[in-house]
Amino acid sequence: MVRLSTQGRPQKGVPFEATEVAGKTRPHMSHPNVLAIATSGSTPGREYTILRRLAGGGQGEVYLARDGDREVALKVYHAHMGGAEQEAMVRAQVREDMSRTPDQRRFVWPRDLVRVAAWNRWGYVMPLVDRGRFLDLGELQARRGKVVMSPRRNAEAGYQLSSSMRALHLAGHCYRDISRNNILFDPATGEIRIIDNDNVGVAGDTQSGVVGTPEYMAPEIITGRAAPSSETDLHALAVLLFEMWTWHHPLHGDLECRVHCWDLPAKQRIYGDQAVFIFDPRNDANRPNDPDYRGVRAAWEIMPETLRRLFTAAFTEGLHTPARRVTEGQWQHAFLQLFDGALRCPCGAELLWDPAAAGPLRCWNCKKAVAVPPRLRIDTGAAPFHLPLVPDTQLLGHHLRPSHGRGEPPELVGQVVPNPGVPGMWGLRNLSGTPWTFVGMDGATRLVPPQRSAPLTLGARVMIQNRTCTFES
Amino acid sequence: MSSHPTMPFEVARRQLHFLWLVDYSGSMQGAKIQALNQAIREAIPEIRAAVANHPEVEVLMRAIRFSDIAEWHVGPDPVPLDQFTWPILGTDNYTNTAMALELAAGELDVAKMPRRGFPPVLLLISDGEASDAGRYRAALQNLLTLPWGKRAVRIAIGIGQDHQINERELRAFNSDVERPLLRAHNVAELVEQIKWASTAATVASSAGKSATGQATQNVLLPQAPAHVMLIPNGGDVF
Repeated sequence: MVRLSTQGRPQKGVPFEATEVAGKTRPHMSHPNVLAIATSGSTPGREYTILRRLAGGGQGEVYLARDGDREVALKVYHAHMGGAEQEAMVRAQVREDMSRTPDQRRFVWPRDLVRVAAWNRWGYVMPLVDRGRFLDLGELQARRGKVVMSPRRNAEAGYQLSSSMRALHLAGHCYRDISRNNILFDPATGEIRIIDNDNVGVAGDTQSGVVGTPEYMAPEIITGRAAPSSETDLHALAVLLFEMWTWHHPLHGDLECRVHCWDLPAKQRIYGDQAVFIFDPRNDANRPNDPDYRGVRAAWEIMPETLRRLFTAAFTEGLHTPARRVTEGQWQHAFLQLFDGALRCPCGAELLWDPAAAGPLRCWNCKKAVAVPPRLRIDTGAAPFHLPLVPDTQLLGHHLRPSHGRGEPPELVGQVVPNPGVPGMWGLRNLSGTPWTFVGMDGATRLVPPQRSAPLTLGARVMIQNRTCTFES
Repeated sequence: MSSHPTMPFEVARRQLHFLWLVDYSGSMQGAKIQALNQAIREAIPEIRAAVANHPEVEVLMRAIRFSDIAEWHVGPDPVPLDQFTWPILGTDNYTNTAMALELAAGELDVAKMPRRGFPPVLLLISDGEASDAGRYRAALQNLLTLPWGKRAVRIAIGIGQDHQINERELRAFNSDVERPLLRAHNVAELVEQIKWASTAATVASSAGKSATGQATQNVLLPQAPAHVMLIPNGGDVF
């Protein structure tokens, strides 16, 4: 009897009685010089040489491949996963240019649809991500103490993630499977990459094979009442952001803790219709009281108030009422604000000043009160933006229009500079091309032409690009 | 890396109990038992790698060997995965699968299991049929009445040629009885099946993975890599 494997080269058909112990098992697929040919996408006919296997998943395998002297990642679907619907979805994706804006470029997007004739399979080519630099949340947690993501970098990552998801949703897509497995972070900069985009589809289209990862599924998906949509993406986004700020799941409190065996039926109970946020102010049924859950209690205690409010909204009314979920724009605004409110406590800890917090700013590390610098309050039309003013602080375009997101490179509007004539006095220099209007405490107005500076005067206002900005302390 | 104070984040953990149930009856002598030793030795670092980035999962491993009697090969105290080593296993006479299940069931008792855990993983590897079929059925029945036993990810691997194993008996052990039995006809297959089953079961029990539809089991175990067979009379053109 001869046996063959569809997964690779023929097996040795020798029964046990006649064989020696195999030192190494065969590779998952043999792939010396296997070619993948682009069938549609940026350059039909382009040839990729498959070099080695990088990773395997439920849907397929990812290989390192070469295109000339450029290295790319190439995903090949398992025979039973790569159906016609999946192929149609990826075919639509490669037609879409996702390289125009910074928000789009964070998606590691399918570039070419390819056929691997030698294996009788199809797949797609995407840019290669540097996995030494970009880590998923589990890798970050496993390297605790060796790799650190500072609060400010965490705010940057939160901004990038919500901003990219907003751009995706604005284009009519939904992601369907936001989870800790699919979002990668550079802890040194807070930059993110979004991988596994082959399930991204048109919102409202229920044809995708993937319904999400249980931990991140909205209650209406868990209970089978709804299919993945941009609204269920918002729930998954909030869960992942909560995990980034606490290293804990927002629904893992006493109710989850009492479950002995954590299997799918248990997850369906805890994440489904009975789901209760662990810090729900009106329902304490699921508090994280267990001693093992001290981490999340400590993280919640020191979390910026703005985020506590948003998470509370996301996991109370937003949990069971999809239309009430916190939007990407709300997250975006909050993270931009926190990023610009980063301060260093004399003890060395990095703090995020938060305009929503009442009372003095306390250091989460040494617990001492920390002096907060004066601020420029910008009335943006929606929630005001507060820019702490220290030497060299830059006023940027997105501070005036946070809902538009951050430009790249950011538009420089002004900068805090010393008054060269009067030591100890400071001003905000106009680095834009249009004049500002300074309104003094006496109500008198003066023009601030480009390259001149408005004096930092407590209570005074500056009109900048139709925004009223007030110096506060 | 910065020397500044870092946020006091911590991960809450759950335990995952992994039990090897390994046949070392006389028929395993030679290539089979050597391959089995080799395969488990190679599987350990692969399981470690699979959960390395899941600090919320604490894998504790033990092993039961069975021939005329069943006894602890590693245990009864569970060993953390990063300290687990596989002692070389020789061969003995009988196939007391029943006693192995009884020994395992004793450890899955609610009082002995953690307060918070993931579904345990039980991997049964055998090349024959239970010496006492009645006692095997009773032991399996008992295992399935235990809260942790019925929720366990149970996978059997049948070693050797078709006439040598009792497929129905081994399949009854599987948590997903619809699944075809994992078979190892030769050394290469045995190594592959042991590695696949131990790693896939550990990940399925603990780490959150993308789901493609409504689950029929209490864990989402992926499909085993497909194999096809060439047999002397393969039938007509179809």
